[in-house]
Amino acid sequence: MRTVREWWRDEEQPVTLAVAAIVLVGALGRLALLNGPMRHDEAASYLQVISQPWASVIAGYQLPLNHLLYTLAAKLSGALGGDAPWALRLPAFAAGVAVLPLTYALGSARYDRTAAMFGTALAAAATPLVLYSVNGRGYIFVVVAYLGLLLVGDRILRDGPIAGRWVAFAFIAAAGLVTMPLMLYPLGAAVTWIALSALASRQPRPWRVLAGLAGAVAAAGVIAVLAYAPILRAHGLDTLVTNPAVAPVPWPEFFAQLLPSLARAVGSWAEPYPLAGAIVLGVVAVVGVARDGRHRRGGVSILLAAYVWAAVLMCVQHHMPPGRAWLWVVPPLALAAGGALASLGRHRRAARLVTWLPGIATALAAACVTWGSLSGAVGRSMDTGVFAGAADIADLLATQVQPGDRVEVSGPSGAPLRYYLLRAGADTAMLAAPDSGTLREILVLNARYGQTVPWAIAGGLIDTARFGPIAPATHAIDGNVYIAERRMNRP
Amino acid sequence: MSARTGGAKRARRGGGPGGARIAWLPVLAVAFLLVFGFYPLPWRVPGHPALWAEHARFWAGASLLTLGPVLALAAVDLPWLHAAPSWLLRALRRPPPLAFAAVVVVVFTGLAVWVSWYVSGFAPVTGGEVAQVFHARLLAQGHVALPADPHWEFFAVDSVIPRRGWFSPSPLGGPAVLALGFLIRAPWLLYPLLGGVTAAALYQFARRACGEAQGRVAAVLFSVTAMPLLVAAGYTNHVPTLLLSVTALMLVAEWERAERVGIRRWCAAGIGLAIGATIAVRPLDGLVVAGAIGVFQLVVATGDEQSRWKELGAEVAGGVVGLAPLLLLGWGGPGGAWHFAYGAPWGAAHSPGFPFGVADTLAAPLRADLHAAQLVSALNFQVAGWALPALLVAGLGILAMRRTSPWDALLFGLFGALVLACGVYTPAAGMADARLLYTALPALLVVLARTPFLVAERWGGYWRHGAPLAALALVGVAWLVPMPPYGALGLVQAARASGAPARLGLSAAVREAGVKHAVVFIHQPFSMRLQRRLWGLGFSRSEAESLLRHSDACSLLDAVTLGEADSLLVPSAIAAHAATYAPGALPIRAADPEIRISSPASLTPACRAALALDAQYGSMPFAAGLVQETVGPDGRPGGDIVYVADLGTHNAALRARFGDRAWYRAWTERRPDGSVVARVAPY
Repeated sequence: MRTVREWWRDEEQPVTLAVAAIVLVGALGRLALLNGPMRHDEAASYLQVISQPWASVIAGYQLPLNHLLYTLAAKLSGALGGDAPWALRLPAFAAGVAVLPLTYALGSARYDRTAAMFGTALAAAATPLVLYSVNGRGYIFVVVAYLGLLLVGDRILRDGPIAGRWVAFAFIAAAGLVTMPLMLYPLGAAVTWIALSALASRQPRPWRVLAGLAGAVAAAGVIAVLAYAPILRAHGLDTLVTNPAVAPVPWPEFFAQLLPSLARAVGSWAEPYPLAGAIVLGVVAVVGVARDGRHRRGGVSILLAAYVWAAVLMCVQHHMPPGRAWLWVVPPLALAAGGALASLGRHRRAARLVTWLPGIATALAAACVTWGSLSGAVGRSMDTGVFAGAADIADLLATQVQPGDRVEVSGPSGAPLRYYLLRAGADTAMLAAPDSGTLREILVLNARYGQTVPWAIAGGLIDTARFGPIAPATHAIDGNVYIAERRMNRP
Repeated sequence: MSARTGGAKRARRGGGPGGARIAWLPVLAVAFLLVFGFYPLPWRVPGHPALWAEHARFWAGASLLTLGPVLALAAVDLPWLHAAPSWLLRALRRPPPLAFAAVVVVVFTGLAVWVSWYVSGFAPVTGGEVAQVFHARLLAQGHVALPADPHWEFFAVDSVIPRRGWFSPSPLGGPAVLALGFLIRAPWLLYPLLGGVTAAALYQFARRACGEAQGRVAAVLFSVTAMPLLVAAGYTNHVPTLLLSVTALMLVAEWERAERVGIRRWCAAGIGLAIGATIAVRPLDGLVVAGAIGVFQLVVATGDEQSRWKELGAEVAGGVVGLAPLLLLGWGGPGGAWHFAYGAPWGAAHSPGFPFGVADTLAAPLRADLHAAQLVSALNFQVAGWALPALLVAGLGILAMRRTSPWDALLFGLFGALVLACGVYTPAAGMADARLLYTALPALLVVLARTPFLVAERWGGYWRHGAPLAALALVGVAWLVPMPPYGALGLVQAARASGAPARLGLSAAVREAGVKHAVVFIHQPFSMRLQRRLWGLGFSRSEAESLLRHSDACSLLDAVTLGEADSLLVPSAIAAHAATYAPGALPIRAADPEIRISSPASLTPACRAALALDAQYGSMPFAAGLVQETVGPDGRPGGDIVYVADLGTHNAALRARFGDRAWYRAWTERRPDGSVVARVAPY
């Protein structure tokens, strides 16, 4: 594989500068969001795993929250920056920025430089990639691992299956698996792509590639099992394979979920663009996918292999993974769309634009990232649970709560509020105070999830026979706080 | 088609079945499938859109996850994958025709026997099957029907008519064929074997009509499609009907191509015989087949230089011979020569017309259309369990046809005519049972088998290997990817679930208990005991059901006991003794959901005892015993073991008749693993 120095030397200077600029723009766009409000999953992950002692970190899997490799990285980065959001998200940020040069590298290997530039520009602005670059969870690690596997696979297919490449493949695959079992999707997609490419290449001995692939996957599996051994010992295999996040559902239910869920995932890929832009981008992406075979440099389409494998795995699992499970598809999809854009640039009538293409790609990245930042696309996404007002409300509660107060909070608001209360140095016992001694109920409701006072009463969050009247206290972004005093003569 | 044949000669002239081109036919056929199978009629059937939406979700999801990847892989430059369909076809064409037909018979028979064992343990499941098996046993023992039994309430089931003599409501042809199975002491083998022979006959017809390769694929498709296997695994008269109608089609193909008058005459006689016998088994299906084949033959006879009219005379004679057994047996039996037996239970209501039941408020012709659409939809759902609707695949094949021949017209006509005929078939109204269209299945399967060939020929390129790979994927996924309740496996599993009551193992339990010269009382739930006793008192089935639904069960039990003690009481007087069900503050909930008891005050000692019986013994369908009944020398149940329904205290009525036998009780018991088994012990 070429070193960065070699790449800098060999590439055309405008392209080099354009790629560097696109990566920089993408990094800045992510940096601006690095210290944003903690979401539910990352806050819960911190509270239940990362903040725990090392023994619990490597063996904890009470809920499928522990993205093991990410947890270890976040524990280390937390040692540098404490429990600040930016510190817990630093590994994701680094991986999220790394996605961009890796996307370019894959694009230039499978398509051409122009397609790679445009694809990278689209990836720099893609809201799902930005979101998970600033989210303290392991999803973006999986994307990096997938791109790494594809790049190693490309070298194996082009330059031969030498042992070192298989070792690299095995370790990257293992890293992905150790991050989360969901890596089975991208790992299988990469394996399918390499296997199909080897079979379709009409090389004299494709079985060498297939045998090496089988060995590397087996080695990755062994490493992953070893890494998960403490969890398996503590919680058993069922925790990993039959928890509610992965357990099969009845087929009628699965088919009822399938198309709406896929439609939501595809819809999320269109962020941050306005409707007209999303439609144009969608058309470009469809054209790119349909013409994938013409743009790429021989071999099998990466997206085709991903589709085949994902379909097989979904048939076996018949459980619809969440939309973020498809994050790894975004870079190759962006490259396919980039390929379609590049083919426009190569059109005879656009010949004079050729020298401008690096600049156009950079401008596209800058414009899209800026639009994404200004439109607040990441903040709008409700993926993994949002409570943007948690920090402000926690600060307020830390100073205002009195003995005998009890804070009632529900749904995706609980973990972020607890996280910020801890950061504010407050006693989180107020979240679990016994009912008998409660003098005031403080209701913290998240308007984004339709949490209203009638909703809280209907859900039994507050007993209006004993507490009332319910009076509004304060408001912060999407959070509303209400206070209800214990009624007189009511035990 | 051989160049020596008459059909081929006409094909060269462009006037005969092989050479004609009917431009409007594909459009008409696709429009028919669209209107009856997809939109708008199925969506107007009450309650149907939800069912359709569920299947649409399955088809969309399953094709996205199974068919889509195969089509994607077909686009990859994998020479071995592209060559696989050609290789398979070459392997399929390798055996000589006779050997291929023999293999098809064996494979289909083997698979159907396995399905029969898996689904029901070789036992009849539905009321219709029980009736036909029972009637076949009677015929095998030399009885067209049994005389009415004085205690018929102990022996009746819904689908058997014991009051005016015992027989099934099906035309005699079906039980007569099934009786052969009892004569060879292997009734479980007969219909799977007939199904296998049907596959071979379909091969013979399709190779003449469409060519050798497509004929073989049609036969293989028939052998691996869920619906033919499930139907052949049961005991309904659809199996001999299909065999006879496909035999008629096969002979039509031979008749059309034969040059020698003698051969044509024999073929015509065979066609008539097969159609007549089809009418004797399922009259409506037989008439539709006769109509479709008749029109085809008239077209051929009109267009041929040689006169064929005399051959049609032989055909009519054959038809009379084929139909004669039904007329003779019916004449001598309780149904009447022209009654086809159906009239006995259903009366005048059982005749073709505009059915009542699907959507009673709609105009009659539209009601018939909706019923037809309901059946076509059911066929779409149940025929194969593919990831795509079978009718969509067929429509694609029809659209891909470059030329349509009178053979296509015959198949389309057969399918369309049966759909419309079933639509106006009164007793079937409301029955969304795809088996009603079973006789048209060969038409559908031949088109489905041809679709990959037609698509490959029409669009070429990628589709030369893409279309057959897609077809293989549809069949393979249906059988190899378990997606219950969908797919072929899902259909088989659903059939097994509904066949659970038939797999209780009564015979084994009787053997285990060492039962000899005995009467076995099969435990019935309280509600069924009451209903049967009401039948014995002269109530019709619907009257008994209605009385049970509206009465306090304990008071009804008292009324029934009173009626049995006083033979002068007429049904209306007995009904007057039963108190209306009026739930009080504390209505009693019995284990039997059909039992309604107003309050604890209604509970008499007799009623408590009746409820206690249900708590102690699990009920068992009486059909399990009925199909094992042996007829005694007096024409009544009288074998070594006689099975009767357990009617509690009313069993004493049998004391005089069966007092010399040992009395046993049969009931069901739930094992710790959840399975239910039969138990037999002295009464």
